[in-house]
Amino acid sequence: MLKYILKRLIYLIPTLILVAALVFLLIHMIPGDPAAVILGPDATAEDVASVREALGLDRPLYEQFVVWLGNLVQGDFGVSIHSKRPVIDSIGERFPVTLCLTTLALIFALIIALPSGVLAAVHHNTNKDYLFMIGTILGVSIPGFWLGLMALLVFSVQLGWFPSTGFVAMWEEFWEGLRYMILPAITLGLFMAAVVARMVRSSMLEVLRLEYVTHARAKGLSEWKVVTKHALKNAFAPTLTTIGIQYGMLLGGAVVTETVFSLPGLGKYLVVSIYMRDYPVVQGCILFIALVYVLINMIVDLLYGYFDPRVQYS
Amino acid sequence: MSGICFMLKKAGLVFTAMALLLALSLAPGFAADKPKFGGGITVGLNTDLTAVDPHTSVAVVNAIVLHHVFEPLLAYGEKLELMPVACESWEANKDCSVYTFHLRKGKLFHNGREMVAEDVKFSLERVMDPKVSPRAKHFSSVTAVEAKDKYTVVVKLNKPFAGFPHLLAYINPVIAMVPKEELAKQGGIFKDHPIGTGPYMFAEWKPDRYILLKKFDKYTGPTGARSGLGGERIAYLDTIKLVPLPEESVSIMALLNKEIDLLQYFPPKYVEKYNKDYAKKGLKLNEVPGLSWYQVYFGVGKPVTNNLKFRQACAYAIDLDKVTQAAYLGHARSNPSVIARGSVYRTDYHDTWYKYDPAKAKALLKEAGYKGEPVVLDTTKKYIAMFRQAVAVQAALQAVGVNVKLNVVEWPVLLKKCVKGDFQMLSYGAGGAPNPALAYAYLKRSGLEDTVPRLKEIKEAALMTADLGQLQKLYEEAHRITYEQVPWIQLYNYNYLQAHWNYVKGYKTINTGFPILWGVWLDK
Repeated sequence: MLKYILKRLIYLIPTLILVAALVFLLIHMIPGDPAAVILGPDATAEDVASVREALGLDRPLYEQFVVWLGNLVQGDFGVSIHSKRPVIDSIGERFPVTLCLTTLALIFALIIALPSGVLAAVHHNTNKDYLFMIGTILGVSIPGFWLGLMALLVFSVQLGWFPSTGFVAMWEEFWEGLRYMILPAITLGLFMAAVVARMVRSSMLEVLRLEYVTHARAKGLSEWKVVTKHALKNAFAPTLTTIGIQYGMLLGGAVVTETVFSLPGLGKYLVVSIYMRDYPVVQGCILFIALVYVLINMIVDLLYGYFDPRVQYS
Repeated sequence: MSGICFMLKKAGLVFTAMALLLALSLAPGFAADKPKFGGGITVGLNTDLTAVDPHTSVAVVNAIVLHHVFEPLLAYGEKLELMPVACESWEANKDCSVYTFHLRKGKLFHNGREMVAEDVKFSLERVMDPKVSPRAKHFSSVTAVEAKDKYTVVVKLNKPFAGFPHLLAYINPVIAMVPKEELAKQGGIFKDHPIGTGPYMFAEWKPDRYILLKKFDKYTGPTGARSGLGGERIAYLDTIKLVPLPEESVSIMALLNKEIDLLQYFPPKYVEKYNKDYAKKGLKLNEVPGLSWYQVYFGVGKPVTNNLKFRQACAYAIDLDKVTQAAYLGHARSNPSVIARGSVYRTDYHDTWYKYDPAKAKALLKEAGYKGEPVVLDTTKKYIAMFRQAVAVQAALQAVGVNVKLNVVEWPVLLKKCVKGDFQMLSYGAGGAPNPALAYAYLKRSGLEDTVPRLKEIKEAALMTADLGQLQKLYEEAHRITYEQVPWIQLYNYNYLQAHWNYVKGYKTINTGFPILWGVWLDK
């Protein structure tokens, strides 16, 4: 297993170099000039040229890339063109927010998705199943920004249960932080729950038809044991892939939720930085997100072994 | 005896008057108007800070926050008059090539050290450094900044320049006085803890969460009535918390929930709801005509739009009032001039423009030999008014037979096109330049300055005189040229809409739209 992990970590290096090159090229290919953004609507061509020179943007692209990559190897992600703050510090401030939001959303999603998916599979083609299908279709179809705004309107403005704006870090004040996180986590988790629940249902349907389940039933095991101990464990492996992909994607930034609930997360930061053509921030954030994504996929691969004994690591 | 009676009567009158005054002062209305010290206000901004160093960025939001923390030598009053802030007075020599600034004595930085002439010299030289400041080129006429004595600074220019004080009063960025030693401590640039001389100290910035300012107890500053960014700066509030709320509907919810006390940008589409409902709840809405100006540029060197008759036809085809209504839902006023209404430089002549006449527009298009060639109008959705006005202009031009294609691009792309003059038509807007000479300089974008050299001469002449009458004449001439040549169609100045709860007292919306919080107190 250790050898497998090491091998995966070594593969990570060329992957990240490739991502770095791609991100660098893509962001520099997008039309728009950070110098013009810095100067705002009152800029003149001379001002823009002067700022480009000061930022080193007038140097050849390959030269800029080599300098950036060289710094990156030494752990220096660069500084923001606008705020002049180190990119890595900003990522460090914002990633925990996104991690917290996504993890809470995942917990919420699993609490909803696992029982409902199993229930729908067990009661296949019954009213319960149809109700489940309607619920999951709604879950994947309702736009996050609309759901978020409705949640704010009802639970913050009308009922006053939760704050409509602001953020308190859960690692600073747990309960107060949780109050700020509940609505965004539910909003985000509902979509995730719908996707995961559908996956649980379809995997369970496949597994429940297999011979070993019939065998377990024939042995006289209770239906509860058959479903939870024998069927669910095997059905969970493909679901795990969906969860991994969803979780990885959201860790890259739950932009809409972060924007509606005014959360200082990584996704919102990345999108704003793209609009402002803050090259070092965009490059640093995407590289970081790629790293997180790859690591989560590796963890999912490792977890496969637990749920499916046929999986071997070599 | 009669003397005693008179004395008693007089004493009685005085007593009655005092009792009346006391009763009045205890009455709710009277008490509410008496400023109170203490408390904290939470203000919703429409975006987050991007930087905290006053010299490195021109973003409006940074200037809004940093005007409370830093101070310039001069600032604009409500009528765009120049007022002293960090200095007590200033004077120019006869030909306006040497300026002398007399600093306020006893003005302290937030680190407790007194601001002296050397600090002003350091700060101005920093603003002139292109590696630090995006505005460095604007100060290229400065040849030397000298600290004549502890409280006197002399700025020498390479040519007469009467507009120089306007540069020091820039609204964004703040041409701030900064302490050298604090910058040195923080690596040459303020990243987290800027130190200034303003009435509020920068306490904390949690990106995308809040910015916290705390009252500077040892603040001393200008006296006299508040006017725009000038006049007295009394910090009644202990703290100011500024919260970025970019989503319009969320900002309204936060205001209704009283999570914020004041909203910097009240979306025009909510005005109807305000009138019907919010006003009854105790919200106050301020609406003040602003300096921001919105326009459509023509590329005078580009195909089709290089034809003067075509441009004039477009001017006849566009009803300024209708475009203004469409773009700002009635919360703006059409203005064919680059000079904002209310500015001392604006005369009635600036209302001269083409009267809406579609028949005349069609006739001119025919004379221009226009045969329906496509004309691209670049715009963006980043600022919705720019998009809305582009749609309205497109509709107006299509009505007379101009084949206008909208090209919606991202804001950075539009900025680049504008700066490079790479457009046939461009829907644009800006915060407004209080100094019209600088506003007319933007004609360079259309390419007109190259074909009409007189424009450059007017700009140069305007920068060399401080005489109001002469300036008004020069700007009238500049407007006449834009009327004749139609390098742009100036559309409107929009109003700033800001809302706050009725317990926020002393708050005034100013024509720059900056929420200024000195002089503001809470009556909760």
